[in-house]
Amino acid sequence: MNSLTTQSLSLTFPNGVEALHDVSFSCGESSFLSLLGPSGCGKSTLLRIIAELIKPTEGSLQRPAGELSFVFQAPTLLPWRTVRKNVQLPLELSRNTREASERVNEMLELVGLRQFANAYPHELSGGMQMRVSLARALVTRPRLLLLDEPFGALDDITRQRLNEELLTLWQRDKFTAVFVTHNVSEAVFLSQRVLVMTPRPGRIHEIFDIPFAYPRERQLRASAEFAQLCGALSNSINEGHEHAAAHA
Amino acid sequence: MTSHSRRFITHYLLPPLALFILFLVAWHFYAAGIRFGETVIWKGTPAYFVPRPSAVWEAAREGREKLVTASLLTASGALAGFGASTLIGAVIAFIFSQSLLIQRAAYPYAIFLQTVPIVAIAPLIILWFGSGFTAIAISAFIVSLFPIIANGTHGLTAIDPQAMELFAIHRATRWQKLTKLRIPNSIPHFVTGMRTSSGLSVIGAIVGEFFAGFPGEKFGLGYLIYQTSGQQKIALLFAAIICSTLLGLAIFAAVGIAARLLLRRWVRGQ
Ligand SMILES: Nc1ncnc2c1ncn2[C@@H]1O[C@H](COP(=O)(O)OP(=O)(O)OP(=O)(O)O)[C@@H](O)[C@H]1O
Ligand SMILES: [Mg+2]
Repeated sequence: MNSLTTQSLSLTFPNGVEALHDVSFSCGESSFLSLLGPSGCGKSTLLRIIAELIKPTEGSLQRPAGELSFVFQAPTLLPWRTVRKNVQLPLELSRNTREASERVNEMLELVGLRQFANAYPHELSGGMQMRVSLARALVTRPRLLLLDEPFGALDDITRQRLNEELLTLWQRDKFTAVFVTHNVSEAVFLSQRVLVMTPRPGRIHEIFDIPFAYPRERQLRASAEFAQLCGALSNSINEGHEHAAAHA
Repeated sequence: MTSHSRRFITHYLLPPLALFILFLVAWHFYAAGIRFGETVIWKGTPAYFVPRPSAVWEAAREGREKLVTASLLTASGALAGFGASTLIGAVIAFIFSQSLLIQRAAYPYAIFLQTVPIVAIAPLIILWFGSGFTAIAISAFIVSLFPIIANGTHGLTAIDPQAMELFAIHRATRWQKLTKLRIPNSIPHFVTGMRTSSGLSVIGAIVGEFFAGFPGEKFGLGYLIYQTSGQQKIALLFAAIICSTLLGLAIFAAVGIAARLLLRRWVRGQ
């Protein structure tokens, strides 16, 4: 089975904070899923459980076979390595040096940074650094890509452009993507499904299927259906918030 | 001339140079006094108290052979101590970074190096190592060791948690984390420690020479200072003090330039 499935995941930190409560969902192979919710509702915690960086207190997890990659909110590039060497890093770590340089070149081409291969991270803009981070995540041909608010620190225009580029890469490589964000229109534009989460403790409040066909063009953002869905998701977030507050 | 080197001159060379000239002028009038015809505004100080800059210059010219030999000797002691503290400090920092237990146990004693007054233990150093070059190098070594340990340990252990997670996700081995993350991350920190240590090593060497100066013909700046201060050769004493300052500055600048070349492309603003 190559789907990602979580069963009743719960996590309580040693300091008593219940970050996640009974989170179950499933997402099929090559699907694009977003986790949407306000700050502090446990989105990063959930991703880190999926990446097996931390263990849940309860529940279980099935991951698709194959490589996994993670894109952090900050580009997290190593400042002493050139762009090319940064992208190459995961291949070095898995001692997968066969055809490494062709693979790195291909990735740099895909994110449009071929001319910057020998630049150092501090010589690049924030958007370019994030492209390097994406290229580094995809260089190992992951079957599961986890993204934790990767474009949160970028301006709207750069963010929208990178959303479009990410979709192109996803359609090309057909990995399973789990994308964390608190930006409603970003979640709607990218995803096949959106899980709206509520805080304290983090749980799944509502699931939305996004019906738009791929490839999605930027004009989609201007359509009435798009605006309507964004409205519905915003309402759901606020509702979940009030619901959680009433129970607190 | 490139705009870069012009910027260097106007931003980093001219301001301190201007201040230095101002200082020389003030010094001159403080020592020589200020008079307008008959009116005495400031009567100056006796030459055995504060010599004029011109007198110091004269003394330096006269004693230049002595000063140059002394400076070179002190420099060799300072550099030997500095080199040893860089190497041994790096090894200690590495050991600290590998075991939190060892670090917790030994760190207080590393701080001891920072707090122990070198003048207090200098007699012990002479007792154990005899007077001469070894004792002086050891004195320089002791005072310049701590900054290397402290900065090096920090550089090897204070790693961006997300970078650690990145390595964990790609199942990096302990060795890979060390060679591809911890060590490169520590380099700028080591360099910061070396900058501080380079200046300290000159102080250590001079203090060492106060107690363990080279007996006989050849001696370093510390011994020269010690000797001249008892002999009313105040102008030569000033010249020796200036030489020690310049020596510290030269070693500090050499480390700074080496660091700048090494780290040029890494960090913004380097
Ligand atoms: N290591 C930890 N120890 C204790 N509590 C933690 C720890 N990490 C996170 N938390 C708490 O768990 C909750 C969920 O945190 P998490 O980082 O998963 O939220 P998030 O949805 O990613 O928020 P944001 O949108 O701000 O990134 C928060 O209340 C947070 O304070
Ligand atoms: Mg988060």
